[in-house]
Amino acid sequence: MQLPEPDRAELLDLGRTTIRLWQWGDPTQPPVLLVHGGWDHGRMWDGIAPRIAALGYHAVAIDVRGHGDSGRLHTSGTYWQMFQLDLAQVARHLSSLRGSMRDPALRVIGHSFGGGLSMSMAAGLPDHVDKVVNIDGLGPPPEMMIVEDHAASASQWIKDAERLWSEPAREYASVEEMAQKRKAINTRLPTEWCWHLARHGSKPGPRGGLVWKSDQHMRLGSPGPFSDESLRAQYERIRCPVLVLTGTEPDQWNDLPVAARDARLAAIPDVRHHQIAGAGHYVHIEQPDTVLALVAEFFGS
Amino acid sequence: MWQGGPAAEGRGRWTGERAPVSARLFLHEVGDIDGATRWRALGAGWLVPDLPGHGVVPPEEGAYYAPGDVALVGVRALAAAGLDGEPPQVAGHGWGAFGAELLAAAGRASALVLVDGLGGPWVSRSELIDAQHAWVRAVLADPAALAPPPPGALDPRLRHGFPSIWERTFTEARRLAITVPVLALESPASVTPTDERGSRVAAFGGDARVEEIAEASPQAVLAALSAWSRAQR
Repeated sequence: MQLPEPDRAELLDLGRTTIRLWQWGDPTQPPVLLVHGGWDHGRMWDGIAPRIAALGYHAVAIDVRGHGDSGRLHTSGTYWQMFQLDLAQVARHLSSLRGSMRDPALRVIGHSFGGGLSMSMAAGLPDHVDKVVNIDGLGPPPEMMIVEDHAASASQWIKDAERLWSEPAREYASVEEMAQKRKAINTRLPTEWCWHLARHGSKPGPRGGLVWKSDQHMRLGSPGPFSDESLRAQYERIRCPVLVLTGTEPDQWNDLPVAARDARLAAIPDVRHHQIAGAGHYVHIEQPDTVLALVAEFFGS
Repeated sequence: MWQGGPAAEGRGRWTGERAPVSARLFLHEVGDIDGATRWRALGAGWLVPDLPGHGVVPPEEGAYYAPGDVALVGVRALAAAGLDGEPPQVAGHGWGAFGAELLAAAGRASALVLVDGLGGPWVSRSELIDAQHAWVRAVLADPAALAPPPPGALDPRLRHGFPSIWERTFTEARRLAITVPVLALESPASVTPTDERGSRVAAFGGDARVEEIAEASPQAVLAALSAWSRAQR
């Protein structure tokens, strides 16, 4: 698989952390922010980002904090507002590149966890977001957000933290081994994409092998009152148009039941939803032509 | 006497001459720059760690703060002091009390003392979202809260506190899971509505009581603990 390198790479200093930006196209054109899923990184947009730039946009894929080359996480596992602050500051930076003094109206495309972050940004910072494309990022099944046993949940969270402090990250012998690991989890991802994601998502470990760039703190999640109800309440606050793209094929991490999906879609005031045939969770990788056509139409390109 | 500084794994200080048989942990309020120093007046036998960004401990990488961090600071401080065996008595003030409550829910406390720690006014799950959005907008509008934290001074980010987490159903379910004895001490500075204090302690799964104190101070807490101890005997 031959994918062109991004036109530019930048390590943006936000004062408290650094965020890697991968950029395609003319920085004076309207920005499109690409937000990857959990455990991924910005290079997962290498296929579609140059084609979005060719539509007349400045396509910018970020490594979310705790992923790729961006700054690290710490402690408890409560990061949602921190991610929002990072995204908003990146949006301001992109605005400054265009010479605009006001907050930018970004078009945002997010996948999975990145889709959730995009929706949250649109809901909480309506001045920053013009349109959202959410690729299979309507959140986990409702039952996964219910804490049945508070004692067990709190206990597990602390044990997970202790394990993270005491155990070094797993090291792999080669990119090939990491690509195989990825393929075993995301069985629908083409093998060449598993290689691509492993190549750009790994770095040398302290014991001579390779480790994932993704911060292991992402495993932590302190128990909190996040629920299906609060997710829908967030969606109800989105004022910009939203395009939701989901795949028709069963896949890892696209296990949201239809009834829950439809209830969440119904909570978004201005939404259109397309189910893409022949795609699982990684819709934009499996069916890039269809996704690009829908995005171009939605953006009014 | 163990004196953990910034380089100490446990990020805390041991005020006793030697480790006691029954440990006691106190977690100070977030945003109280000298909180640990003040609460070390509890005396020997109390482990009072500085939270990140307070006292002698710098902020964590990325200078971001979350309520749950407080509990994990307690876990690390206990481990560093060699007190990670039998669960200690755990106390906390304000958000420190929330951290203490998480430790108790996890089975990491033999008793729980909440100083002004019963929580703010109840909010719906929908209002939680509004609180989070308002917090993000407020921080974004404050350049000092986005800039690198000034060394040796309170991080301006901490002036924004945390968005409310006080959703009633979730909080009461967690408190039902806490079965160790609980003492809630409420001062005039508490953010908990006065007429709700009784119902809030009633949500705990074990023996729980609430007492009023004149101020959230080590002296007032020690006096209340002494009376509580006598009552338990």
